[in-house]
Amino acid sequence: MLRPEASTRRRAAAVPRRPWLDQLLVVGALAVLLLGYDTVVEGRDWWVTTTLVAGLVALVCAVLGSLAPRFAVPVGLLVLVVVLGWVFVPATFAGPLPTAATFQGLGEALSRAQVLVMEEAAPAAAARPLVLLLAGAFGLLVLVLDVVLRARVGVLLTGVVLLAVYAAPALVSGETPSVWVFAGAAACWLALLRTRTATTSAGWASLVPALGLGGSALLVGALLPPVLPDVAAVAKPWGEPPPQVFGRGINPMLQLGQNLRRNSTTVSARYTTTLQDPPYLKVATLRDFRGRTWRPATGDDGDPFESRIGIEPQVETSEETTTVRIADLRSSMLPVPYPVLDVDGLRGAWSLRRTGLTISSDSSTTRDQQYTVTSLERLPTAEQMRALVTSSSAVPADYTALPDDVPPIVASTAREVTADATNDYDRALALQDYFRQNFVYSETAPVAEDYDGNGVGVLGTFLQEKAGYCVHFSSAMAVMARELGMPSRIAVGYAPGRAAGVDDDGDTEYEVTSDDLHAWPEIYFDGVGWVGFEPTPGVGSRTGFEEPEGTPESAEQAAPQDQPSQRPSDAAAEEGSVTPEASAADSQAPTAPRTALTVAVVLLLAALLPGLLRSLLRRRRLAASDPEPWWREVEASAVDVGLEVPRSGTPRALVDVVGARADPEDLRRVLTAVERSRYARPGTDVADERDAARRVVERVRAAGSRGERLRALLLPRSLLRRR
Amino acid sequence: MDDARAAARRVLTNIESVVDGKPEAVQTAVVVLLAEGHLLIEDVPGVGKTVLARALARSVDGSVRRIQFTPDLLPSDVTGVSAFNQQKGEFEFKPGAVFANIVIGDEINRASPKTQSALLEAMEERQVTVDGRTHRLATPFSVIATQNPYDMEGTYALPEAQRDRFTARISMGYPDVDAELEMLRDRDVDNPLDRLQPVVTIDDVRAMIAQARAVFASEAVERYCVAITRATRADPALRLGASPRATLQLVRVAKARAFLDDRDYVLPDDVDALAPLVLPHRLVPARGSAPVEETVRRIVAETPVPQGAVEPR
Repeated sequence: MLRPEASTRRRAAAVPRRPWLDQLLVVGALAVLLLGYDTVVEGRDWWVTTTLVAGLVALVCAVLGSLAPRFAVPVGLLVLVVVLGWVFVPATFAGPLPTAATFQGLGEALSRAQVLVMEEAAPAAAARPLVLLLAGAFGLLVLVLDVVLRARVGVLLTGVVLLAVYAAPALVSGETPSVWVFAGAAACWLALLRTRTATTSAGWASLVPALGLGGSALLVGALLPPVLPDVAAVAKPWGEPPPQVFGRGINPMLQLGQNLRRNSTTVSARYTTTLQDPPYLKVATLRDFRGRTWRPATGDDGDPFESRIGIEPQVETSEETTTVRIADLRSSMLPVPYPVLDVDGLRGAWSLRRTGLTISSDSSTTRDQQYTVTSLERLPTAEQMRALVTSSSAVPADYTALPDDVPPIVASTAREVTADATNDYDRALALQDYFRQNFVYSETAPVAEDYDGNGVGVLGTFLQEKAGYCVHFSSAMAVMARELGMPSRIAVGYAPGRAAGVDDDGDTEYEVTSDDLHAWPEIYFDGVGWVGFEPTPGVGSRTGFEEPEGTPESAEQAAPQDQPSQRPSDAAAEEGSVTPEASAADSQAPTAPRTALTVAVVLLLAALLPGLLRSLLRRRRLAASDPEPWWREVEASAVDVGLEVPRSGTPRALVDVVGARADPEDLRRVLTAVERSRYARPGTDVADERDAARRVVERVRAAGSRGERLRALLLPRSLLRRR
Repeated sequence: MDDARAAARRVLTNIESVVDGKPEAVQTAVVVLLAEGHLLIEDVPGVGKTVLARALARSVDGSVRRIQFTPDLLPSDVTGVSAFNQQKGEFEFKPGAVFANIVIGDEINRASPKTQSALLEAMEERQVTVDGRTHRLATPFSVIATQNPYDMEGTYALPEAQRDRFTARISMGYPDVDAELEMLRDRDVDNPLDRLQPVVTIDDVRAMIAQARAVFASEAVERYCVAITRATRADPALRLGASPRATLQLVRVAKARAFLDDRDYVLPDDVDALAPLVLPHRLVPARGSAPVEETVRRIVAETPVPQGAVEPR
């Protein structure tokens, strides 16, 4: 049998452990790295939640690391699970305790998160399952790093783990996190490294060079961005999301180009319809444009309800049905014609988004779905359209908001193109024609000329190069419309596709493929609602309503206006229940406040726990019939109030310490009892001095300053004392 | 038992009446007597070594012999000789100085090693053998020896192995101001030692010794003593550790101290108090390390005190 030599064993045991500093640096690094995940998940709420959870786990590790390291990981894991359960599935708790349903709930949420991760494109909305996944993952990371740090070369390994955490968002979103994220995390890691390599462990003094090193690393990191690993560049070839790009609350604009340039073409869906023309199938609506990209509306309280409401009575409308069979498409968002009135035949839980009338789900996907959509066909005449205005108080300012840095060429081109038009409808048509007639469709030119995207920065170039694809056209037209004061937004979905055959009933069946992925602008006309336009040359057909030949259609078909509240949800399909917004709103409710509350409660309990434990112990000891527990209690009380009790002393040594505080007679009686029980001949009578012991303990605890007594109450040092 | 304790108290009080301001030394001397051990008093001249020894001897109504150790002292002076009695026509044993209840040996380090070893052998064996005949010594038998550590010329320092025979070594130390003043007044006219009367009979002493031996030392305390002596053997600051005999004597003096303190059980405190008196003179420090007394104190402080049973949690 070979045994490790004593010297190596001793050295291995001598790895300096400063759990509090370690955990502080680890959580610091993780919190900074977490900032880089903003390209993956939207909002800030998840950051607070995840940081709080990771911080709490780190606190557990730090406390136990200095007391009982072997329990750090199991207890940390327990705390992590309980806190996550309390934050994310509170309904499953029986009082303050988790139940089997808690674990089941967490498991379900995690599997939902898995679906979301696979099907959503970055940045995803901060759905609760995703936040749970992040918080759980970072909590586990803290535990893993805690274990790793105990090994001799653990710090180096920690660097690898942190680098992986840094690279992960880039792999998902294709965007490298900011320089500062790298530098901040690197600084934390270097400080960690310094604590291990420092030859002396002179407390905070050795931290100064560590912080200095970390600080200079920060400086270097800021000055030398070129040396940073460009993970996005590495990630690009294989980091692209799968073709199932459309997820709820995500930004499909970012992925459109990539999907269109994809070589393989797959059939996404087939449909038959009673509509006059094959419809555009809408998946998502993008409202907010703040410069970098178009994004879905984050809140839509002020939006007018769409579908039938607000349609002028004289406008001809009809209800038409479209039956869609999903083929090779996996998404949590449903392609539907606009504006949808009712959906029938869906499986799973789907909810209707009020803005843009799109349908999405937290838990179900489009896979193998077949459904019938009832939608409204609006057939205003061109004459009617010309009479309508776009500017309306019914539409919130979000639809006309533009960032400050829109290139001037956008506004000037818009005015130039629409100079001859006298009404909003003609202006919109002029813009549409301008693009369709003067621009060429190209999926590759923007990439080659480096103006791909839909942000402010590329608009000017696009208008000069006059080549691009739907993303550019829709964005440019929507922005130009806003420049002219017309409320606009972008719809994302599928262009109508092409006729592919005839179904059993003899209806024409249309087929849409991944090449039909499309984006188009919508402009709001007060009296008809949102009208889609098609500025992209070669796609679909030019939007234009029937020019007047005679009188407008009779008003008898204008009746639908009188049925204002026929919301799709009221007629929800039996199987696929469509509830407007509610579940979606709930699933995105912020988790940070509850997490903060939970962490605060846990901390409060943890703070009260020592005192509670101590008083239980005291009661139990003083109730014992044996002098030994009494004496333990006298000793513990002396330790609690800060007296210097010799660690390995005789009872008399303790008497010397507490002597000044207690009644000498009581003390002597307890002392005699304990000495007799310990050292006298077995069977010697020992007087019951419980009362004397109680008085001694009370006197010892009552003496001393208020601060001392408070500390004895809340942070009893005797609990940490090992004999 | 109470009679014996009262007798022991009388001895203490009696000695303290002449040895001013040294209650600990006095107590140790009595404890050693009760443990039937031998005491080595080591200090500079004139601090009362001999006074303490004589006061102790006088307090007991037993036989007392005093030996002034000089280089020309012969072993037979200590143990005794066989002389031929012409009248009887046979050899007759003439007992030496050790045949007494209390033997005071002054300046023991001035005697030749041969003489020293004769005494030390008698101390250990409690008997002497002369010309093949063994003679038992008196009971109780205690040697109180003094030596001057600084007077090196013409002395034969006791070898470490020999010092082991002494139960305890104490040093008197200089008296404090009050004690020194007190002493001046006491000895103004005459020597108070001369007025000292015996307060206990030798039978009392035997009873005291018997009762001190009967004091209970729990296993925990015994283990504590063993732990301390074992620690001296492993300590890097010591070249020679304490012998098992040291452990034995440590327990015995601890019992005697407990007896004096009105207890019939030994406390770790007894051991703590006596270990620095019982152990150091048996130990040899490693080169360049701290003084032995300091090392012993450290070892005693570091050795875990036996606690009671671990409480159920």
